[in-house]
Amino acid sequence: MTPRAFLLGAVWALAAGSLAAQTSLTGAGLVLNVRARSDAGPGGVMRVSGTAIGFAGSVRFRRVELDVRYAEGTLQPADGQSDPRDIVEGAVALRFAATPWLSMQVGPHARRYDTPLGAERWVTWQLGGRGDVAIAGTGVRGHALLWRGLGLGVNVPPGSGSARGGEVGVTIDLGPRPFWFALAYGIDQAVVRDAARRETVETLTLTAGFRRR
Amino acid sequence: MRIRAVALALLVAAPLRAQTGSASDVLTGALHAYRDLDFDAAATMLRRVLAPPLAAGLDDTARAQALTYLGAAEHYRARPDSAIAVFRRLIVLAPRHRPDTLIFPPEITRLYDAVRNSTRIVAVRLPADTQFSVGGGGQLVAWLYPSTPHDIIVAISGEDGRSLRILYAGPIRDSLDVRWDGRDSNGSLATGDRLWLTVGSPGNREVRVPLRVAVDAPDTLPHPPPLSASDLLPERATRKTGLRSLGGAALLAAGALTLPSLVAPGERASGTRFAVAGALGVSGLLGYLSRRAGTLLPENVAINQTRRDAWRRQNDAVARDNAERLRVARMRINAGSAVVLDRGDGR
Repeated sequence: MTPRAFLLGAVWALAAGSLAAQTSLTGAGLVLNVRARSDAGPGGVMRVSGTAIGFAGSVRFRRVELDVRYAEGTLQPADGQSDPRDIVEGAVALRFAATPWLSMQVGPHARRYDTPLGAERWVTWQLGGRGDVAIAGTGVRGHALLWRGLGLGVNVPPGSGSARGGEVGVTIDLGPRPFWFALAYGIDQAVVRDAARRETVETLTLTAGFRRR
Repeated sequence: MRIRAVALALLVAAPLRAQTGSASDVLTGALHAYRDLDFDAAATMLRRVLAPPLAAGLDDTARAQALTYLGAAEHYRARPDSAIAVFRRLIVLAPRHRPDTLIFPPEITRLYDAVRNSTRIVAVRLPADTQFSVGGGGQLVAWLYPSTPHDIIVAISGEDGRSLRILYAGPIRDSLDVRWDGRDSNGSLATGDRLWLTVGSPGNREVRVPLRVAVDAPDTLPHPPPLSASDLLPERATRKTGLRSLGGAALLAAGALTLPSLVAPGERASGTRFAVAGALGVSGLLGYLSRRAGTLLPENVAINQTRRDAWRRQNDAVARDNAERLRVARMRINAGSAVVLDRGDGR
């Protein structure tokens, strides 16, 4: 090993050690109950519901946290006659904790439905604020999130529009053990301008995860 | 006529010379007068030489000699009170001084000893300039000599006269050396242009030596302020603690129930939100019940411990840094002339 390589290795090890000491990681599995309602004008209302499973993860360094989330599943129509839809959704959010109980987040959220007519993609850039409340010490915490879409992109019907949503949930941390569970209710609504198309999605998410500091 | 004038001038010149000569000349004349048993003339000349402006021309040894002769002269002039006062003045000036037994008869030395036994005072001797390394264990040394064995209190005082540190409190016999490392009673370095080394004797009599103390060192870092109550979380639950848990959970549960009307007004929301609202309600109730007034809040205890540990680490780091800075520092102490404050009963 050359001296330069040794020096670089030592610097990398020191930086990695320092970062590791200040970084926390979480990983989780998700089970979602999804209920979606598409309103395309008079007579064009369609309701679907079903279960999706996925994963979520986050990495936090000091006050900044990066969250990722992915889930997929199949939604059955409520009328029992239409074809089922496959749903895939993913989100990335960059969060900044202004205080221990208030944080701001921004990031894209994409949802895709596979229908017999083709793939339908909804992409939203979200900007939101989240408040955390300690309910029973640090073991049980609640949170509420409200966000607004900075931009909405839809391929069917093509166009843009507005979106907003929110989530309320409760998280149970198992104390010294690195496991945690969460239950959250979320709802979002996207409206496509000039197309009279409105999409409302409700989710009940059960999460089981681990944390590593 | 001319011879008469010269003779008269010679007659007048001798006393004039005695009146206008130097301090040592006047002292010599006084001692001659004492030996010629002219105690009145000796006393007059000795009082002159001990008063300004001639007094400035005498060193301590000559002044002590003049006072000894003056005390004896007053004794022989049948003025015992004056003799005692003069001897007391002599003892204050030089507590270790003793009349020469070859010159002065026993009645004088006995009188002097009697006055000395009743006059408790300490002579302080210390170097005019002292320098030492703060971290090297150096010290200022003051040597104390009492007029007679008695109890004393030696202290370092600030500009306002308040004691910064008691260096010694107890009896003194033949002599005593007192040491000072430059620190006050809190262990901090005591610096200033007008500090005092004070030696207090019974009878409210005090010897003060002015000290100018300076440290040649880089500035030390301030210690972090101690953690106040506002820096720490309450470690025991109050009535509000449980209510706050319940209130927060109730607020979130209400938020879950009203979220659809906020985000998607007019839509008929599903009942799944009731599951979350119910979970929040149950959590809030459990939080309220588990946080009755007086119960320990372990999470706050842990957070406070973390904060205390962090403060301690920071404080220790500052202390270590300051100790290192002071280790290389040098302390300089300049001592002035001692002054005697006699505010007592004159004994």
